[in-house]
Amino acid sequence: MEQIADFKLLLDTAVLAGYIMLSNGAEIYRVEDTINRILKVSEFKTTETYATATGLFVTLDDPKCDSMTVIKRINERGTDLNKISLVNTISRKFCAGEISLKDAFHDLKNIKGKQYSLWQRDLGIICAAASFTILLGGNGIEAIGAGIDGLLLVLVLRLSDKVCMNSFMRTFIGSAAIAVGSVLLVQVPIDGISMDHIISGSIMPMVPGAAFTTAIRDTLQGDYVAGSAKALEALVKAVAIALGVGFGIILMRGVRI
Amino acid sequence: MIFQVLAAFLGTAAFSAVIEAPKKYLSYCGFIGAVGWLVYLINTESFGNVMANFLGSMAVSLISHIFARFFRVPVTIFLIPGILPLVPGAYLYKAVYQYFLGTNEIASWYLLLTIQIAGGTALAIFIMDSIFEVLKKKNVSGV
Repeated sequence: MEQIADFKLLLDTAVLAGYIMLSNGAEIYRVEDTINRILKVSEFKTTETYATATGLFVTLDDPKCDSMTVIKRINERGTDLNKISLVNTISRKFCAGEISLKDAFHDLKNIKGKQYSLWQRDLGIICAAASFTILLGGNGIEAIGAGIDGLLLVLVLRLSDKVCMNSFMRTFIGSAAIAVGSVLLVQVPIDGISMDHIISGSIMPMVPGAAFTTAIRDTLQGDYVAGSAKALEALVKAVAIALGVGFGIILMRGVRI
Repeated sequence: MIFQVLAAFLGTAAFSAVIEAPKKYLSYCGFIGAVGWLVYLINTESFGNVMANFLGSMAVSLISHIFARFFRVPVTIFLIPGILPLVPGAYLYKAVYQYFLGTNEIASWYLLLTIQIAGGTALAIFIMDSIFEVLKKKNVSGV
């Protein structure tokens, strides 16, 4: 690696790797570590990385040439564990010298979209809702009820994907739909169904477990900016669920016995 | 209890698919969720809810770290799905529901429980992360 163009590509590769990881929910510590490892391949004197939940700054500097800095804004954030794992594998291979820089960049560019089709995701949500109902003390019939609620949630999510709703409204309307569905389900005269079990199981697929876990781990590593951002994200989501369920229940007050 | 653990396995694996866990690790994610829930169930009676949750989270983090080292993938891949059954979503809902019913005392009690459990889970993840970090620094050549 001798030419400036190579270093530029190296910088781009590092930024791309960091971008993919950050926008898919990796911890800050891991993102900075991965970028630094990739940059260290250049053997430059200075390699700096600063990552937050919403942006990324990377600098390469050496006495023999001008410093290069890239700023990357991260606008969309989700959770995609597979992409994090793929980037990890590629950067590991690249740093061990198993693949060339061009291949690494190419591989990163070609990380595919989703592993699971949309209906598989939907099935996952329904299964999760039903299973968590059992965990929270529900019986088989309640699990089926939660499954129906899960189906409602899936419909709402699909609809909100179509109209590009923001995540707060998505969660709010999703939980409201769950509450409405549960109130209606409880009207069916079967013994031993409790609305509590059905609702608490059905909201589990929306509970901000990922944001919560990452918030803790970021804070532990000393990345307080990202940690508090993630904690806030988890809190906002929890509030959205709570408000949504409350709204749904109030809406159905007339129907309740 | 076996039924519950099976449900934990299924639920965790199903949720892993929603957050796009790599296909080949789906069953491992489910396994971690099931073990965490088993530890929680065993300890609920003698130690109470909060402590049992803490112990369950400890188990989840420990196995996640071991699996991550073993398969050479980021810990997140196992930790996020595995911790989900132990995240106090249900208590949060109950707290809000009680507020809507107007029974503020019960609502505050549930809210406190939610915060305690979340704190316990956070502490468990903290502890395990720190332990493994120390271990990693000890043998820098490895990992």
